[in-house]
Amino acid sequence: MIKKIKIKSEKVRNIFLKLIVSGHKYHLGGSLSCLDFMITAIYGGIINIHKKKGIKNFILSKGHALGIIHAILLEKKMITYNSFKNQTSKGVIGGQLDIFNPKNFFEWNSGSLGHSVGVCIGLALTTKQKVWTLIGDAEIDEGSIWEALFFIKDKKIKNINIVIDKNNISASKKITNKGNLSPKVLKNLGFEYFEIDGHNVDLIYSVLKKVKKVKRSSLIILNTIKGKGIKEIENNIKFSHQLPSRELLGKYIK
Amino acid sequence: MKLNNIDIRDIFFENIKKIFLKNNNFFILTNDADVFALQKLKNHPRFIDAGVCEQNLVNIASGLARKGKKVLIYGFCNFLCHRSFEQIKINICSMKLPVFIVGIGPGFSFSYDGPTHHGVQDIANMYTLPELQIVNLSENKLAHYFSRNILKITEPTYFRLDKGILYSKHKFNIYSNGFNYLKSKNKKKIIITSGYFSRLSEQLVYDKRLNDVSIIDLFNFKKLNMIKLYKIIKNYKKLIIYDENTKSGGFSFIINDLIVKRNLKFSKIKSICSPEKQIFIYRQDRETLLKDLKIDKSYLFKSLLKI
Repeated sequence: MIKKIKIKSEKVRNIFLKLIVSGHKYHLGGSLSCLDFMITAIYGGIINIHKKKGIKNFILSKGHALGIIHAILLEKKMITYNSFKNQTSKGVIGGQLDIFNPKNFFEWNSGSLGHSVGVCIGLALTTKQKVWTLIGDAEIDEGSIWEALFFIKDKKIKNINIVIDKNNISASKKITNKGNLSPKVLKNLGFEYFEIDGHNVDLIYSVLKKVKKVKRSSLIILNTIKGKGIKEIENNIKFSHQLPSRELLGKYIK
Repeated sequence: MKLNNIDIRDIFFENIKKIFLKNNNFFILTNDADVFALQKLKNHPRFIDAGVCEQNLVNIASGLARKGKKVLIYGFCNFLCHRSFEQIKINICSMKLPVFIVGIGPGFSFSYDGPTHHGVQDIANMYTLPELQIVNLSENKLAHYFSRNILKITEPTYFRLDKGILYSKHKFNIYSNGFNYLKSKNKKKIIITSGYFSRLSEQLVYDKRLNDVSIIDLFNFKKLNMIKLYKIIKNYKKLIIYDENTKSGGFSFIINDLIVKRNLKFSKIKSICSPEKQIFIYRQDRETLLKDLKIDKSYLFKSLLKI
């Protein structure tokens, strides 16, 4: 399984970089920081993806990383490149995941930060299956996330897994000494708590398998690097929004 | 259910309670708001008191609705409409989920509690959300009808629910147009109003036997039959817009838009709305506050005589 995940990881990364080189606008840094998790969760069978029904019970809260999802859809041939190109040129597919195109393929409309944990409560109350969300580390400042975290704790909701992509850079600044991300605070929330290297696929896979079996909600902190894999932009605030040259990215396409 | 002597909240929530108990798919959520008719449901697993956190409340409701549940949320209209505006916009409206948002305490119904509790901007604020229906439950029969038929509604809907006995002795046209028209014998003046102010206008017109004053009660703002509305109001010479909300926060813009689009000509137009400021006046009763603000029934009467 790990071998398969690593191969797929390379493939998806290449597709994603090619999309950018061919002119698609994505947030490069924040996408690459969560790529290893997304690939492991989806190709490792942790988050279910269905060729016709799409991705259920998962909300990509840090919606600016949607390029990875697009690349996965292309890699899995859930959408052909021509159709994708056609739909992006028409403006049907763009900078947000939405539930309309393809219809009901994604669980939620992405874009606004801080909503997903609360929404997951609503989803989780209707099912015994695990409900997942991936949020950013800057996003954790949103008060609505804390309203939801305490609600999950108080009501003892057992089937929500929250993954935090801790790449230590927000849209405009480095994140340091953030009190609400300290393990002391997070460990007291009553969740099963994991903190791991978010680029170590073996570790991610083994933790996600554990999480799948755990009988309470989990909080998984992924220590990641913004722009992981492209040395020139790694941990560089400048590339939160800005893209490097096509030539530079081309060097990393295998 | 006798509708002429019951508080409008009890009519609405008693019906909701019956539907809730019969339907295992129906959830009720609140932000710690207490409603008499629902007190017995508080320990029910489908009744969720999310506590004082409106954003989370709306998010949970939308998650439930996404999975096909029928969801009603209630709380003070200000806190639901303004505090959790983005959650309503994105998670209910952009997802087109049929969540029913019941805003209690509209207008100056909580006259002692200051501007935090004055619901006088909610209509315009909610109107900006294209997918959201807005129903101002201005009358007991109307509240009865909408609450009994709530499961037939398939769109996200904001209900404004006032308090007190808001019973009209007259026939109330619920089924079409989105407004009710109380026609006077002599078509000279018309009041266009909504909600609690509709009942005040009606009391005034019938108590004072104002035979030349008609009333239009707008109650379904996104489903107004504008052609019919136009055909009615074009017959009048004098118009009063009477809104408990502010001019920018209420329905005035809908009427102003109609006037401009249809090039309607009136000899006199007067707007009686809540002032465009946050009101730091605390009164034990609504009528006194309305008097302070010169938007009460007697001020309306004087205006009708002068216009």
